Amino acid sequence: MEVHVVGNENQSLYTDELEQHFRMRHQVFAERLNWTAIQRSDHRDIDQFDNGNAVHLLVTDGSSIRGGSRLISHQFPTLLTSVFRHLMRRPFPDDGSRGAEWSRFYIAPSAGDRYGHSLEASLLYCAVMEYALLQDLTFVSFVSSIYTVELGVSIGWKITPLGPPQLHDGKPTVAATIEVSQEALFSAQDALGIDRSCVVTKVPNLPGSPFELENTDLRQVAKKGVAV
Amino acid sequence: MLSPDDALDVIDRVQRMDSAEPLIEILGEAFGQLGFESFIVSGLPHRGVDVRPFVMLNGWPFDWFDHYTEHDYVHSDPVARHCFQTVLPFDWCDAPYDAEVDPAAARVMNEAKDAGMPAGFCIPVHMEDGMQGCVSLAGQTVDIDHEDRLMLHLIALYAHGRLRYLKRHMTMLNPPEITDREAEVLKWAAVGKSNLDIADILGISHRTVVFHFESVARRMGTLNRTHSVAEAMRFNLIKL
Repeated sequence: MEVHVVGNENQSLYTDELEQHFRMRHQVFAERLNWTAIQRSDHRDIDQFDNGNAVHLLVTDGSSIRGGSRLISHQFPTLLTSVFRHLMRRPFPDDGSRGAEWSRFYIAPSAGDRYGHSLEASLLYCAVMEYALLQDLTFVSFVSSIYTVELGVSIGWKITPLGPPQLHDGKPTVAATIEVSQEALFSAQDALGIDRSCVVTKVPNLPGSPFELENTDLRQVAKKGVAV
Repeated sequence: MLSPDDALDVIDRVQRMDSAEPLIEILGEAFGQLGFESFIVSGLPHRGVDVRPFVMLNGWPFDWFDHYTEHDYVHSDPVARHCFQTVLPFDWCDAPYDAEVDPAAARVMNEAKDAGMPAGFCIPVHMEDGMQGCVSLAGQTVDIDHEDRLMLHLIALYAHGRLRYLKRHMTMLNPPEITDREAEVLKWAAVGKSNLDIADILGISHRTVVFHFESVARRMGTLNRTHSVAEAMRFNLIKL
């Protein structure tokens, strides 16, 4: 399995994968988790945040998508700052300029119900932290049911709630930030048994991130991930 | 009453601790503000397995803890059993059992009452590998409102997660020790040999092979043969 980072700059190389990704997101969130607000008749989960500012992390196995996540810099509107604002009672660290929101985390339904305990999930956790480090971010935010926090903390991540938990659709839900650090990456890799880098070497920059990777002429970069 | 700021401060402190001991005080104080007198953070073993290696932080009264573990109450305790049935926190009194047909369950609840722990609140924890854990607090719950219950839930998940992290970290620094013979038995199990095969190969009785596996499970806190092999490989105790 491989992790690919797909953004505005290189999405033309990933037309098929992105199509599969949006369909699987619909399958997971709109159908299985029954998020009625995002159900669409074309069975593709694409919302107002899936624009040029979003970067998608795709877990692939050959030509099939096995999982994914979305990152959006807090320089732009995000789910948290628009839809879930009420969960935020505290400001972001560093006035928010060096953070990104992690949303739509999923793994393929065929990977089974043990959500956190799959290679797909482990790769995504490590890839998000690795890419955040590459992009010089200091934190990654998320909105999630509070159960996620236990796994994050158990792999050694420092997770700070942005406010008290509240019920959302009957589920205890919290907004929080994860501290980005080299230590957090090592600790996650160690806990999850991922013993190597899992993000492609040439990746698109996250629009709005403080750090722009040099030499990312992605037209010359073949679709290449790192096998794990 | 636990103010959101106090609660977030507890969460911050829990994550900064590099050993389990200080968590007894930090958590005890926070839970105490809501009227809880004692608590425990523990994994829950499968039927018939000793709970003691699964306990990550014991804040129970010592007498009760000894009594409970010596009698293997975890397998008949309705509160512990209910953790396998729900993801939501619950009051001890809402853990279902039928005293008529399940006197063992009634006995645990009655003896807890006699030990000064008539009521409490339990937060189940479901881990990614399918294992179960819980954070259980002893004390009256009638005055605890909805917001505080949500906050307790969150604090419990932080405590459990941090303790899991610390436990893994500690065992990495101090890997379990096994004997040469135990390593040999595990090595053959790792390449797919049955207990009878291993007995033949090593020229020992089947009973002795089983004894070695039980001994390894006790040393490593593992659940079964496969779990022991996996842990032994993780700690480099056996090489194939």
